[in-house]
Parts: sequence; structure tokens; C-alpha cells
Amino acid sequence: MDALKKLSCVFLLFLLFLSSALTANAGALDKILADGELRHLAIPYARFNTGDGDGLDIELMQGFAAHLGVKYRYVETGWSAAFEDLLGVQVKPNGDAIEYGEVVPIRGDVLASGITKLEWREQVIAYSDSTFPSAVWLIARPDLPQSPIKASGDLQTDMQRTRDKLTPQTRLLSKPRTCLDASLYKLDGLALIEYSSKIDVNEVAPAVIQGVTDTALLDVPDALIALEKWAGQIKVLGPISGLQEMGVVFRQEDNALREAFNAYFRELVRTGRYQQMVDRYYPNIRQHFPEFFAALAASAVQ
Amino acid sequence: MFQRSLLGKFWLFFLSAVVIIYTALLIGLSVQSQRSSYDAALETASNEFDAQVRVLDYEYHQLSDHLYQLSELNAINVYYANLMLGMSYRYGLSDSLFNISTDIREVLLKHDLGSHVRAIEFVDAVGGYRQNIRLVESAGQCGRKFSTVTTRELFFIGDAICLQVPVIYKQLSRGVLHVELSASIFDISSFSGSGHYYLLDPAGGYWQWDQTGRRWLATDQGPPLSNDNFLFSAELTSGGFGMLRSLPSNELISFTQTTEFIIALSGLALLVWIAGYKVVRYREQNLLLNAEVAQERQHIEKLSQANKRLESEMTRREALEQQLSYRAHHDMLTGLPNREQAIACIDEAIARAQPSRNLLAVVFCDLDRFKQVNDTLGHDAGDSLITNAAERLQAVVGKNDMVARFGGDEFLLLVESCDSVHAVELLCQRLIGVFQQPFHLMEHEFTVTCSMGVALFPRDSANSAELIKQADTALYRAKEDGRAAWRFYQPALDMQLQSRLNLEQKLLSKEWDDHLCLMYQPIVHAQTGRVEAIEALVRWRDEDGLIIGPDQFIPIAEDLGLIGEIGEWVLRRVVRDNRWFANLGITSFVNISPLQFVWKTPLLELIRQISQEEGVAIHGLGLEVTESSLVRNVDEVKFTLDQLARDGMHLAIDDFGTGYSSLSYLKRFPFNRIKIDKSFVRDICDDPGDLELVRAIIAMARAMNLNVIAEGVETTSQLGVLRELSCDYVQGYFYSRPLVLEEMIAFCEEQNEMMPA
Repeated sequence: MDALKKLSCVFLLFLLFLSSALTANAGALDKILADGELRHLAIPYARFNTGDGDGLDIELMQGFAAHLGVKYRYVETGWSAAFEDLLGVQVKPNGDAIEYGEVVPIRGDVLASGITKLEWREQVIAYSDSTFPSAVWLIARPDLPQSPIKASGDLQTDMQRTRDKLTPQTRLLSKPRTCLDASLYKLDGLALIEYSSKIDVNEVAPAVIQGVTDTALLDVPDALIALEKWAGQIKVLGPISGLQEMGVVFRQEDNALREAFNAYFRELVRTGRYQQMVDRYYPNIRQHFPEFFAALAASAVQ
Repeated sequence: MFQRSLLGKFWLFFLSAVVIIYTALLIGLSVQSQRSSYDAALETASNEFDAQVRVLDYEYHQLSDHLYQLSELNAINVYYANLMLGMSYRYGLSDSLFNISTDIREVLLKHDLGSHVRAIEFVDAVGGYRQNIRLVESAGQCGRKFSTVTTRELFFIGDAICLQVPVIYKQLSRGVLHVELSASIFDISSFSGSGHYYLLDPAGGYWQWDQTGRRWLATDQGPPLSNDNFLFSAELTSGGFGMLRSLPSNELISFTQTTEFIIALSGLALLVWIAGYKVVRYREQNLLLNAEVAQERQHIEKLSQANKRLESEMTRREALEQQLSYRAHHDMLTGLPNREQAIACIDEAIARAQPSRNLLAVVFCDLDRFKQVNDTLGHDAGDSLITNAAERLQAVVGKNDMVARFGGDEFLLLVESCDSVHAVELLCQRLIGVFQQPFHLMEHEFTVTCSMGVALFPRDSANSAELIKQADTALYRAKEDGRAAWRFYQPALDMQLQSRLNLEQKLLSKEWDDHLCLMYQPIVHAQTGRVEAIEALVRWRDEDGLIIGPDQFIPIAEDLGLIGEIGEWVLRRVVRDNRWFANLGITSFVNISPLQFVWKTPLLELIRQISQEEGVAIHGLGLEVTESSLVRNVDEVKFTLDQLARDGMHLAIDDFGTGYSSLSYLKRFPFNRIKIDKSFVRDICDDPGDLELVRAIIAMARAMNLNVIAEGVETTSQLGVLRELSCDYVQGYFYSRPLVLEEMIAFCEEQNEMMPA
């Protein structure tokens, strides 16, 4: 039965590839150029997409469309539908495997909205060069007895110290299918994990403040903003993950389009304009991840 | 003199006192003014310095207000909130710390404080973290230095001014902001006024302003304290700083405000007093010398003025001499050479022509009818005519020829440009021609011709006087030949004319008593033979005894205008002689020229005057008047004759029958005798016409109750006919030729004795 399921999955994947190849191989880039429009799939998230028409990724894609000489079109989506809107088929990770669902209309040409590079995702989509650094911290209410860890200077030690702060009674908010999914960091059993798909990623910090949960996972870019925005109302207990990277998501077959973006992005970095955009939306991120941005600049020059 | 000297000394003393008081007042006022202006300058400089420091202080407070607001930044509150939550520096706190620097930068940029703030260091006194914000690349990290001085708000570190701003969180001091300010915060380069500026910090340190580098430099000591400097101080309200301005006194006060100036002024006044004293002394000593100098100067001035007058007089005399010389040699009316100059020129011309015997022509030129113009239009017209005539003559003759005015209407031409007699004739012809054109005088048009006589050198003479005389002779010939003509001198033909000229010259000498003499011829009653009257006849007796009759010299005298004088001489002599004849009952007749009626002394007045002067009754006198005398000035002549007749004078019309023989004259004028001209008597015996004419005259005279006198009776026959015709009186050689006075008196006495009444 399992073998049959696997076979059917492979077949579906073949069909998906075939259909995608038939449509995309014609050249997504050529189609975009022919249509004169770049459809940008975006999820309101932190300052990558504020939902008010601006954000780091919004500005990045607008610049890319202008670079291609086509019109920019914003297509809002959500964390649950983001990938199927790009791929034209429902996808869902299931352990190490991917489960495909129904075929749905393709709504966009590119997905960019602070999408962290995760292994399961790379099975179905292709990322551009890394555009932004990230990590996942464990945040808590100020009155929680657990105090923040003392940095040891070693990430793994710090991560372990952080995990040690969790108790089975500690409530931990997890966002499945996102980078804040507790399962990605093997936290099951360490805490009382509360999966909630109703709470938006942007509402994680307020949920902690409001006492909906004791702790929560929060990516660093979002955490830095939350610390500034709700100073004294949340505290960072410590790191859960190491360095993570974000990138712009393409269909795997849209190599020409991805390469076009990578070339555009490298030019943006080389000229320093990208760094200015980053400082505008995340003023202290570069000083927090100096090695990432140094490497980014170095690769752009090469 | 003594009073003047006393007065002078008084004024001298008075003026000296005025000068002394004036200079003393001047010095006193200067001292007072100096003090006032000195105080004012100090006050002004002090006020100015205070005002500038206040402005500086105000600007600093503006800045410090902004800097103090930095301590209230939200980022700092966020930082301390996260710090209080125990967050690690690595995970969250470093980002908050970084946000502090970001926000501080934004605030500084927003308030444009970048030019004043070089760097800021946030020092967390709780966690021990620091955040250094460098705004200027060259700014140092002042935080490490601040750690040693934390008690003062504002202080110097090197050449930087540093401000400490405390950071308060939840009412407690949690840290500090160290602000490194650039020197521009206390930049006094815009301060007006010179001098040196110092900053004095509460710890007693000094910083001196370096204007070149526009910064404060630490110095070991403060401004120099001496009398040569003024020191102004002002407090900065923040940080306890004081500011000093050291100003050299010579930059604040001018020389006129210094003591040296007062000393110099006093010295000057002293010099003035000494000089005044010396002047007075020398004045007295030099008074005499000055007087002598003044006298000498006056003398020199007088001499100078005399010299000027002398020079002026000399100039005037030279001009006068030149004028006199000119007048002596020129005619004033025409500007032509006069007689003397003309003669001299002729002499010179003869001298020049003598060696080569070149031809010279002396042309005597006389205007015809000039006298008529002069008499008719007056002397001004005559002068104008002379002037115009001179211009015409000059226009014709050659450049080297001379035209001179010889007198009256006479011109003399000296012609040197003609080399032949024919050329002279052509010149004369041209001269005649230019006078054919009429002259315009006094709005009248006259044609005045000219007559010319020419004498030639060397043909006629080599002497200027002779040449002139010969030319004059030739001129008379031209005039006699009808005028408007020229004649050359011809010696053989002009003897008679020469004699006339000689006579004219003698007449013009007016020596009447030497040359004039009276002859008397008796007028005898035709029937009784008694002398009833005598006719005075005037004669000219020449030096050589030659007697010239009136028919020769009277016309000449009339031409020369001398007839009046001659007539008066004759009249006076006749009246005087009449005393002899009056005793014999004989009337003395005298001939009157027509011109005597219009002479300057009227005839009536003249006769009355002479008869009165000579004491002779007029009724013993008689006048013989020719018919021509009655033609002109009829009314005046009639009046004269009427008056004379009334006075008892006998009036006879002379030469009756030769002229108009107008009966109207006889009727109109009060004549009582008619004298029949001798030309009718001469042939009365042989010419029936004369006889009948004489008869008619006598008959007419009878009818008009007039007596008749027949002249020129020389023979018995003539006397017989006249007696037969009942002629009243006869006159002629038959009885007597004209006799001198004595002879006539004797003749009358003898004749009348022989012929009883």
C-alpha cells in the first residue's frame, strides 16, 4: 500500500513536472516579458511585506520588475497557499517527504516574503541566492521564571542552554509549515507545544505579551523589531537555531528567471543599494549578522 | 603817539591773556574729554564683550538642550528595559545598544548638530556596556578619557570640549552620554574687536583662542595682567566657564586719549606761550627795522609807480609823436599825404629819377564845381566828395604812384609809373573817365568833373616847386578851356595866367593898405559944370608901382572870396575921405559888388557901423549897384537898399543898358540915379542907335523922376549931345581922369569956384 502510494506520488510528481515544463519551459522569463508583467506572490510578514504596500521584499521585487522592464503586480497570498499559488499544485511536507494535493491555478511568477530556506521546501521549489539572514530565538513573557541565558560564545552551547530553559509545563507556540515550526527544531517533548494556525506569524509576539502562551519561537528579524516595539514586555531566552538564510522562491524549472534575478540582486548588492534598503527596514540587522552581509558583498563582487 | 603805543600794549596784553586762557581751557577740556571717552570706550568694549558672550552662551544652551534630550531617547529606555530583563548582550541587548547609536544619529541629523558634535559615547553604568557613536572620522573615542572625570558637566580634553549628559532610567542614574563637542561650540571667530580671548574652566585651566586654527588651545597661563592690557570677563552660565578678553590698551584708546597726548598738548601750549613772548620781544626790536623796511618798500613802490607813469607817458608821447608826425604829413580827412609830404616825395622821386632821367609827371588835379557843392550841401557833403574823389584817384594811379591832397579840392599826383608822355595822357584820360560817374552825396546825385594840369620831369623842370607851379598853371589853362580836361604845361603861352596867379598870391596876402588905393573921378552937372558928386574907384598898386584896374583884380578877389574884405576896406576909406567932400556938398559914390550883399557882415549893418565909427552922415554917400546885383537875393537886396535910401543914401544903378535894363528894377528898388554905360556914350555922336537908346533912357528916367549920369564922356561933342538930351550929369575924361584924394579935392574946389551954382 505504501509502495502504491509512493508510486502514485511519483506519477503525480511526473505529471506536475511535465505540466510545469510544458508551461514553464516555454520560459517563464519570456512569458513575463511577453505579458509585460511580473506577478509577485507575497505574504504580509514583518517588514518584508508590511501589508501596507511596502516592505523589503516588495521593494526588491518592484526593482526586479523594473529591471526586466515589465509592470509589477502584487499578489497577496498566505503561508498555507503560498507554494501552491506558485507551483499550481498543493504541497505539504510530511516528515521528509512531500505530499502533493490538488492542482490549483498558478497565481504568481515568484514568491518573496522573508521565506526561510528549509530543506523540505527545496524539494519542490528553487531558491535564489540568499538575500537575508535569520535565526530562530525563543522568546518569553517577562514574568516567566526562566531568565535569559548567558551567552557562552558558542552557538551550540547557547542553543542547548536555551532548550534547557524549556520544561514540559512551559507552553510553546509553534507555527507549522513555517520556520517557526517546533518540529523543525526537534522540540517535541521539551515543552507543551501549542500548534496554532490561527495566529498569524506577525501576531506571535503579541500572543506572548497577552499571555496566550508562555514562550514562542520567533525569527530574529521579527524579534529585533518586537524587542524595540514592545520593550520590557517580552524577553529573549536564547537561540533555538543557527544561522538561517532567506531567499526568493522560484519554480525549479524557471532557471532563466532565477538567474535573471540573481544577476539583478548581485548588482544591487554590489552597488550598495541593497544594503541601504536593508538598513531602512531592519536598521540593526547588519550589525547583528555582519558575517552574512560581508559574504554577500564579497560574492557580489566576484 | 604815546596813546597809540599804550593802546597797542593793552591789546598785546589782552591777546596774550586770551591765548593763555584759551590754551589752558583747551588742555583742561582735553583731559576731561579724554577721561570721558576713555570710560566710554571701556564701557563699550565691555558691553560688546558681554553681548557677544551672551550670544555664545545662548547658542550653547540651544545645543545642550538638544543633547540633554538624547538621554530621553526611547532606544535608551528600550535598552535598559531589555537589560533589566536580563537579556544577554549577544541575543538582543547588543541590538538595543546599536539602536541607541542609530537613534542618536537621527536626532543629531534632525537638529543639524553634526557640525558641533564630533562623537558621543553611551556608557551603561549598570551593565557596563558602552556604545561609541563617531560622527566625525577624526574624532577620538573620548569615552575612555571620560572615565577619569565624571563630576563635571563640561570640560576640556585636549582641544575638544566635552559634555557629560546623565542618563536616567526609572528615576535612577543608569549611565551617561559623553558628548565630544567640536571647537565650533565656542567659536568666537565672529567676535568683533581685537585682542586675545581665553576660556577659564572651573578647575583653573586656561585655553586660548587660536584664530588661525579656529580652536581653543590649552595654555599654561592666563592673560597677562599689566597696565598695558585691559581685561574683560564674562561668565558662561553652563559648565562654570568664564571667558576673558585681553585687549592691549593701545587698541582701545587712540593717541588723543593718552597721557602722552596731554603732555604733548601742554608742551605745545608752552611752546606757543614762549613763541608769543619771543615774538613780542622781537617785535619791539624789529619795529624800527620794519619801519625802515616799510619805508623802503613804500619808496620802492613809489619809484615803481613813477616808472610805470614814466613808461606810460613815454608810450603816450611816442604815440602822440607818431600821430603828430602822421598829421604833419597827412591829410586828416582823406589820409593822403599832405602838401609838405607831397613836396618831399616829389623831391625824393626827382632824386631817384635824376641819374636815369626817367620820366616823372606831376599832375595837379582840381574838382570842378566843388565850391558849388560845398555851398549848396554844406561842408559835410564837401568832405564826403573829397573823400570819394581821393578814393577814385587812388584807384586809377599805379601802385608806386602817389596821390596827395594839396588843399581844398586840389590833389597832386606824382606819377612814376609812366615811361612816356603818351602814357601820361592815357592816365589823365582814365582820371577824367572815373569822374564821369556821378557822386552820391546826401541823397543827391552830382557829377563833379575834374580838371588837371601836368608838368613833366625832366622836360619842364628838375625842381619840385617849379614842377608844382607849372602843373598849377597848366591846370588853370585846362579850367579856362572849359574844364573836365587836362593840359600839359607850355611856358610860352602862360605868361598872362602867370601874372594872374601872381596877383592872386598877392591878394591872398591881404595886405590891403599896401596895395589898395582909391582914385576919385568927378561927376559933373551937365549944364553947370559943377562937380556934384565923385565916384570912388579902387586900384591895385603893385610893388613896382604898376596900377591894376578893378576889372582885373576884382573878379579874382571875388573868386578868392576876398571881395567882402576889399569892399569893406573901400567903403571905410570912402566914408573916411567923404569928410573932405561933404564940406564941398559933394556926394561920394562907391561901387558895391553883388557879393557884398551876402557877405558875412550884411551891407546895411556894415555901412551904418562904418559911418558911425567914422562920424560921417550917410546922406553924403552914394552906392552904385550893377544890375547883376539885383538878380539874386532880391528880397534881401531890396530890404538893404530900402533901408539905406531911408537913411538918406543916394543909390545909383550902374552900367545901365548893358544888362537886363529892366524897368521893374527901377520901379521896385529905391534908385534915384541911373548911370548910362560908357559903351553907349562912346559912339553917341556917330551911332544913331546909341543916341536913340540914350535918349530913351533919359526920357524913361525923367518919367520915373530919376537923374541920369552918363559915363565915359571924353569929348565936347559927346557933352553937347548929352546936354541936348538933357542928361543930368556927366562923368569922364572930358572933365578929369581919376585922381587921388588930394588932387580930387583940389579939382573940386577949383572947378566949383569957376562954375558958380
